[in-house]
Amino acid sequence: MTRRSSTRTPATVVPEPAAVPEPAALPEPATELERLAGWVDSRTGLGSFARTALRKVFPDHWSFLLGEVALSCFVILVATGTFLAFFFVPSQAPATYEGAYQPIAGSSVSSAYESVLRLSFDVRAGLLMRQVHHWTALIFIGAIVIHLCRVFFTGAFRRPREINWLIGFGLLTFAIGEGFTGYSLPDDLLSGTGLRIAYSVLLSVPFVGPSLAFLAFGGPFPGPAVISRLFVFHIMLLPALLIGGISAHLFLIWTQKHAQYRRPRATERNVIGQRFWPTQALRSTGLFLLTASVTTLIGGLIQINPVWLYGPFVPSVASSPAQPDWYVGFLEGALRLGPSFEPTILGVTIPSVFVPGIVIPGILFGAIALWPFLEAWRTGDHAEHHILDMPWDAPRRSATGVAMLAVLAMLTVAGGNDVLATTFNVRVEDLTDALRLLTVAVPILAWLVTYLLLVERAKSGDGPRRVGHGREVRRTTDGGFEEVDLG
Amino acid sequence: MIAAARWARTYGALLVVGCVLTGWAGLAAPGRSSSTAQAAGVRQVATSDSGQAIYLRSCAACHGPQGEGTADGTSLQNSGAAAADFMLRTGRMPLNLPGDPTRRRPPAYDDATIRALVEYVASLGTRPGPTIPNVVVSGADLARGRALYTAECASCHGPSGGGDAIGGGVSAPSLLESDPRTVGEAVRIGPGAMPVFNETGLSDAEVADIAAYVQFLRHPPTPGGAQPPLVGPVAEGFVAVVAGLGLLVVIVRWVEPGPRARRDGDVE
Amino acid sequence: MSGPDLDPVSPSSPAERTAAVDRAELIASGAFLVAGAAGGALLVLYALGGQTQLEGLLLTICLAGLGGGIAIVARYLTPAEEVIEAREPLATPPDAGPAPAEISRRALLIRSLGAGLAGLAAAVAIPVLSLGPAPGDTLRHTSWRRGTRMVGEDGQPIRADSLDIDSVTTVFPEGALGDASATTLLIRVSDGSLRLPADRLAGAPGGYVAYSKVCTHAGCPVGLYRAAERRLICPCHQSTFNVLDGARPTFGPAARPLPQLPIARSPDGTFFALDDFSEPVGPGFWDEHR
Repeated sequence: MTRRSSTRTPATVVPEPAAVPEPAALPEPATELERLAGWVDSRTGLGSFARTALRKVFPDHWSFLLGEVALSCFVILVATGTFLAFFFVPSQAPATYEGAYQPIAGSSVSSAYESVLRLSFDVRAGLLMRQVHHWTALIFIGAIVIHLCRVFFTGAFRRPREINWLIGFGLLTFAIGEGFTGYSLPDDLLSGTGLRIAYSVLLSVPFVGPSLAFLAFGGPFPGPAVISRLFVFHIMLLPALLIGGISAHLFLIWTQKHAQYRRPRATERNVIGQRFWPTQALRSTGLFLLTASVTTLIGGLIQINPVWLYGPFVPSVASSPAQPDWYVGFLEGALRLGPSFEPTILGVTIPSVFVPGIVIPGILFGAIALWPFLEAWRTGDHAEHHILDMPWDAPRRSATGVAMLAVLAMLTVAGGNDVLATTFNVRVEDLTDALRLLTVAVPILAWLVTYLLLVERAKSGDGPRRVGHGREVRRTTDGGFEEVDLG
Repeated sequence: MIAAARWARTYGALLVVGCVLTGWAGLAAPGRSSSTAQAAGVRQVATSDSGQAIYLRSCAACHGPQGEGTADGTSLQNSGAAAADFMLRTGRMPLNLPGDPTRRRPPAYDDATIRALVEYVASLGTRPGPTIPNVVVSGADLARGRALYTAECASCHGPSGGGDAIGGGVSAPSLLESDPRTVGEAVRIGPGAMPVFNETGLSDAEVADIAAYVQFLRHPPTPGGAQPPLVGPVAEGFVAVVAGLGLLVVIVRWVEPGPRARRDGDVE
Repeated sequence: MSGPDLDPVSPSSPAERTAAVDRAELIASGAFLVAGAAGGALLVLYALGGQTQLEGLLLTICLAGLGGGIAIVARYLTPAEEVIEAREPLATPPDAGPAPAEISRRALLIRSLGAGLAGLAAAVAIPVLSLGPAPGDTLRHTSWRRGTRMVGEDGQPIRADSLDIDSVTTVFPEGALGDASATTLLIRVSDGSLRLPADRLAGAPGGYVAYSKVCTHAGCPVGLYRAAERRLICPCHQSTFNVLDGARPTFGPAARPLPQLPIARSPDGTFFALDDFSEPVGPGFWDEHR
């Protein structure tokens, strides 16, 4: 070891490498778990992170668990989907089904369809997994939607949570994409008809439509490759985007800390609730298992998507009624309500599916995605908010949210116009004309009614427990002072 | 406990309403027998009456004394035995009022009367119309029947045979109460808005296959459990969102009751 | 305005609290045991051959037992007191770190980097074009040609006597059975009832008329036929076409009639096409009128 005088050239002194310190004498671990944790910690250094993580405080409210229901559904989908992926054959090559279901036994169908039939009729627990997977998908997107509604109506998307809103919106679109690709994989007549419509909507884009459609399908419809390509999206690309998005979503919640409702002692600078360990972790685990039990119950007891009744996809046939899964229903309704208008402007034809199929959904979803920025621009409120609103605290926002829900609900209802016409014994034409009117009128009415009701509620107050407006200065436990927003 | 009672009331009410709506929609969906029919009891008619006598008494007012038709009813001349048999055995005829929509109801006449009427109506006109087909479903090719049904019938009658609205105020009816003879007759005569399929277009063997598949649809296997009466994503979406999500919201509220129920008495 | 209402909960005595905890412990343990039993039963059921509804029920009991038990532990056996934690400001405070290196041609470097990255992005993205062929003229033609014989779904030539008046059937070009864009409807109406201009009427001999089956709205096969009214209906969005009027749309979102296939009858009673469709079949695209 060289020893140089450190006073002569301080900049070039190489300090002695410090000796590796002896591991500190640790207290004897009391339980197996503590011994295991110590073993991991001494090799990874995760102990300090775990200590902070397990102590982290999350606010208590049932409405904060709706996103966790969606997350639980995602985990269930990955688990059941992995099982399905071992059996599904993502190919349109012909195969002969030789299984137990008589009306198709001996028929030549696509390999994809044959593998789904075989899984449903001839593989033990196959139909249970398939049904749980599909029911969970329907519930997954529903859970995302009500979680989105909770976030919207409480203003949780405001600064600093705009990025999380965008990520969440992205997760919604990925989930819808997963659902659409997923139910199209069995290559049955009903979902194949839906693919045909998707192809036509792609075709309708000005200038690039035909190229887009041919790229996506590998040629004119149906093309030789669509099932295998949907499979790549369904088990690889979209799940990767979902997992990445969910991780980012949770990370931001972690670092920003969850928002909380207004209550005594709650301020913009604290979080009141329960610690992650044991309370929140156990709640989340329990909720995950209970969510799985609900989807398993429905998946085992109620039949869904009986593809053997629809038959294999054949391009020359379509049966009715023909609807997509519920979360695509608003697109279907837009197509059914769309006017029969196909103008040609300066030599460019705008096909009749373009506006209802791309422009209108684009505007609606664009508005949802950009809402935090639209509201901040409109209200001028760029402050950080960690205390949530009640819906009546922001009547315009809530009214707009209700109106948006009304539009989407009317369009979804319109997607089943022939089913409704049969159920209520009315003419399809009359119902469709009525829905065209209602889809514009009901949201406007809903906006007005909601706004007026909420403004009224805001004026009259919310009950005897409200202490009154005001702020109070209180002493904190570390000796400082803090301002608290009262009641 | 007060809180528990309150939310049990709220969510219990919501669940009950949801189930009632679901149940009502299910009951009103196609595929169930139309018990909304008039209370048409089977009318006993003395068998000594000739077909012509019955016809003149019950049918001639709308269809004309020689079956030539009037403003209230189509001509029955050359329509054949199959048409009359179909209409009478499915209760579509006689109508209460001219202009009523035709739909399946309990037949108004007993078998002997129907036979007599059919024989008489078949004799009307100058040439024989479609005869009552002899549809033999035992030994039929169920797979070919399914393929033919999907190609020719499912677009109106649905993949489950439950029927659907097809516009113009017309509904393709449910087939789930139709026996093979009824199916065969309908295919050959094209009742109401239905197109016609003759023997060259669909052979008798193919019709038998289709009828066999329709019989299969009346009691299809449901390995997945309970099948909502309406087959398809509409009913499935309803169940998932109303029942599935509804149940999950109830569970969520139980798992995390929130600040109020946790702090025993500490309300702040 | 305050947040969600806080219910007054009557305070329970320490003895009541202990009783509640005891009960919760027993119920949770019971739930776990039931879950275990259900799991075991599921294994037995699987060995015996399985049955979807029973599998679902047993798995539900197993999951609900575990989940409910854990939720009960979370609800009754964890500390009830709430904790307050402070929020730190999110933004990172400015850092007095080492000065960035001196770059004299900063703008040049950045712009050239941008150009390089754009080139890389294009190079990486271009293979996407291998996913499908250029549309070219594919959308404007089908496999129908002058003289192509008309066959049914079974591949056999369609005979005129297989259709009565008010009959409809699906036909294909011979040699292109099942071709999606060439799927055609052959309909028989009463002779003389078609209201078409003379040149189109020439392609619909004796009341037999052929239209493309591909809906001009979103491409679904127009498989419904209300024969009494001579209306074709598409099952997807209820576009309705009048057969007698050149398949003109009378209701629904379709804006263009179904293209007609001009046909003729052979002496042997079969049909053949006189030409391809005079316009592109199926849904519209931006340059369909070129």
